[in-house]
Amino acid sequence: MSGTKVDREHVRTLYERHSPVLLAYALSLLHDRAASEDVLHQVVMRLLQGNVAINGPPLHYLYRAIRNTSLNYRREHSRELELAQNGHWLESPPGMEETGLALQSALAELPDEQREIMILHVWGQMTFEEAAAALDISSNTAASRYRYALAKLKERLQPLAKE
Amino acid sequence: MDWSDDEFEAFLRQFRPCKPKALPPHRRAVVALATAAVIVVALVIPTRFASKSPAANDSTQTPASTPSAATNSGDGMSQRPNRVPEANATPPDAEKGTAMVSSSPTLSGLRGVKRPGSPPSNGPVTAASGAANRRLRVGGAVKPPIKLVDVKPVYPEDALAAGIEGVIVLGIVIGEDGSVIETRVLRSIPELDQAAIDAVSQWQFKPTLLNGEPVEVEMAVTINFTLP
Repeated sequence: MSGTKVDREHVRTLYERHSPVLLAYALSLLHDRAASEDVLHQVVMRLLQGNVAINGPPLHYLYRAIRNTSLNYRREHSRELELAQNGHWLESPPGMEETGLALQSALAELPDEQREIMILHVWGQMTFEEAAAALDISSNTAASRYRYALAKLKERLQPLAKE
Repeated sequence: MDWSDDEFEAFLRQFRPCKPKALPPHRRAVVALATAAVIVVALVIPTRFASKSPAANDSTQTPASTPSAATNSGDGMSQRPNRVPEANATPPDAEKGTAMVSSSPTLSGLRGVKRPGSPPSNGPVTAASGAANRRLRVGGAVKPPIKLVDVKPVYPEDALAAGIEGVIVLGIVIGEDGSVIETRVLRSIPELDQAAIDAVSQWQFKPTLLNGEPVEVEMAVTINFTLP
């Protein structure tokens, strides 16, 4: 398989810059903090050890690898994950804790494919093209999923935010 | 007036993803640590086993001599009347100093704090330890018990002033009466540990019944201290 190995320093820089959103992405799939951190570390360590040759931007690879590893983990540990439910992944600004909980709850109700595009676009600050490349979908699909997700979140949160 | 998409995105970005812990150390260091751990375990385990009853560690090893331990298998648990609904696993956890309950598959104690008069514990929270002291561990078919009394931890002023925040994980044992009879710090932040223990020790749970009789339950709880 063709591909290039990633410079370790670059991986560390990516981790420092993007780890909160990468963790959020794993948490959105696993809902368990410890499991998500394990998945994130496992994926990053694999890159750091130089065992992986990748195609395309390393950040896109990280998102894909986290998704695949999380889904594998979810299949193997579904029962423990069901019990854990400690997947709090957003920090709320002071005084907005209730809204933060509502946001987490609303995000949790989104289908995985809509939630992941929200995370990549809103918190990962990726364009639809970048997010689409990371998730291996078309830009139009990414944009469309995002619109659906945004509409649902607005519907849930707008009343709360205006109180 | 409805928000525009940009306004709503800006609103969402006020909520920031939590930071993960640092990457684990380099593999060579991990191998060295693991080797050291194996040596320690090899030295410690024989002495622990020598001072323990054979039934204390694993209920499945002594089904004949400990009938109550045998009932802790999956069959026994399916008869429990007070299974906890799923909603119990989503408590509020984002407030300052609020607590979040979760179960943990591994509860190896770092240091233990017991209430006076609590029954002796044979090391870290494990499976049932005999007919006289039946104990279940949350996980698998055993759901976390329902919390009846919740006491929020008080943020220590020193920690507040020093800007210390983070997550404390406690291993707790819930007695047959639903009170917390034992706490162990599994994930420690020294400045915050005591506040977490003080709060959790006051929690009350609905007693867990096994075949109609109350039993002790072990579980891990997560206390999230967040600076205002």
